[in-house]
Amino acid sequence: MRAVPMIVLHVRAHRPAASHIDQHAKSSWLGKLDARAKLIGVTVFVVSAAILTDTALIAAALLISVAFAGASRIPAIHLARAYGAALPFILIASVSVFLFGGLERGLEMWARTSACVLALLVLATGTETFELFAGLRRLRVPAVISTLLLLTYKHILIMADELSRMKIARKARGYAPGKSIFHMRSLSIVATRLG
Amino acid sequence: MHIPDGLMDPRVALVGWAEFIVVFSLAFLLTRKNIGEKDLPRIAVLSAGIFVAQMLNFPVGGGTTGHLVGGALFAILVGPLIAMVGMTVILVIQALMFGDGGLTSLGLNAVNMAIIAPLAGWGVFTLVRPILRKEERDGALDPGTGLAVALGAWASVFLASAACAAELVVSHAISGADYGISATIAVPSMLGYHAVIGVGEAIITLGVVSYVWTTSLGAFSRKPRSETASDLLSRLAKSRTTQATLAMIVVFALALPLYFLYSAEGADGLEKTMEEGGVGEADPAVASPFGYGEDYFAALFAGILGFVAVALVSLGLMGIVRTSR
Repeated sequence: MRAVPMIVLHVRAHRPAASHIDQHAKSSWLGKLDARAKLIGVTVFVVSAAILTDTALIAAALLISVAFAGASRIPAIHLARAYGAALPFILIASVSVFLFGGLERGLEMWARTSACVLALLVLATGTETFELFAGLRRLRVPAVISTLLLLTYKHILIMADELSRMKIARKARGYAPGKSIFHMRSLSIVATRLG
Repeated sequence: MHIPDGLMDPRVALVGWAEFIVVFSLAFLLTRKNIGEKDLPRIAVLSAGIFVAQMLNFPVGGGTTGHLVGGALFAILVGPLIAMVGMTVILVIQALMFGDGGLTSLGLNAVNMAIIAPLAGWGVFTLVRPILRKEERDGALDPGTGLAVALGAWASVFLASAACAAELVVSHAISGADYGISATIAVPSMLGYHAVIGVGEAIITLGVVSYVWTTSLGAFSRKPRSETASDLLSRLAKSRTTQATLAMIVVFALALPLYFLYSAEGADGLEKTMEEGGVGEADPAVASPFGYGEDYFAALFAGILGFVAVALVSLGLMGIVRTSR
């Protein structure tokens, strides 16, 4: 697809808007590594960690993952927040395995999924998203798909900007997130905005 | 519904990847003729819009929140094939940008949210619409079509979560409790939770579709081509009803490899779990509080899926008979 270089330029021009998403990407040696190397490395690690069932090996995988996160110098609080988003699913699975397979297997489940999630999070936050998609393109992902990825990413940045402006406007009108959909005060503000 | 890495049995993840690659390649080849360079920005805008809409959480009750999946919305606006490609792009971005959903489980996530959700949403919408629609109206969305949109959106979420639950249960059974989530936990929590989320999905999808429908229908969807073919067979192939029925059959066919995997390995896995957990079949700790144990949920689950499948196929057959008349 000949349009690709043009689109690449176009997306690059939007980089200032991406700064909050990629704020940790340039903070360490990891950010400077070739995106292809990181993609392949993390994929190999995640695939091999996901098939482990031996306790000692799973513990080793978790240690490697934590060490990788530590070496990447991405602030721990940032990783912890992203990890927290994936935690409910991991916990339900671990508790389920714990109930039906015993404590040791429950812990194994938790350690295995955590090792994989952590490694992927380091890849995601430690690399500029744009570099990742460009890396995918150089790894011979079909042109239509990599172009779509880049274009979609660009529009996400624009819409996320728009969304944050809308949120600010809503906050300025005294909106507070309600506990249920029938929270009257929030509802009245939303209704006023709609009308 | 984003499955992280390391949660699913590797064999189930492999089945997911295989199904995803086969269906995605088919969708990709079929759309390739219709996608030009000019269409890419349009698809990208929709993908981005759904991506951003997925970041907005709405309260479900009990302190939990849900968010839009968007498969039905995408498919109703641009058709199921392009929706599959667009939803896959969304999932890849989520995995690589936020670490949301894993790499090994990307195949399964794509089967649930990028294949089953759009196909089911579009299939139900297309099959139900001719039954509910009373009159043709230009411009505004008529109530029958609106109801069909809401039903399609709800069905897309419910079936995608059912597929996700089935994957978890099969993982659990064939690995002997090393992976996955047991049926007694996975089926009620996934299906119950997503039956409620589906209502939110239906409301949002209906809102967006009716807005786009009244303002700029032509911007996203093309007018259906006029069906001029004379002989019955090509008319059948071109009819929306046939295509929608086919979509629903594909949705349920995707469950078959899992079922075979389960019946080949499942019984051994369950026995292994029982032995290693040191419990017998009649152990009250396992039997209560769900008196019927695992089989009860498996039967219930199969029953629901079977009922839906039969209902949809018969709806489709009715439609075919009507259009061919």
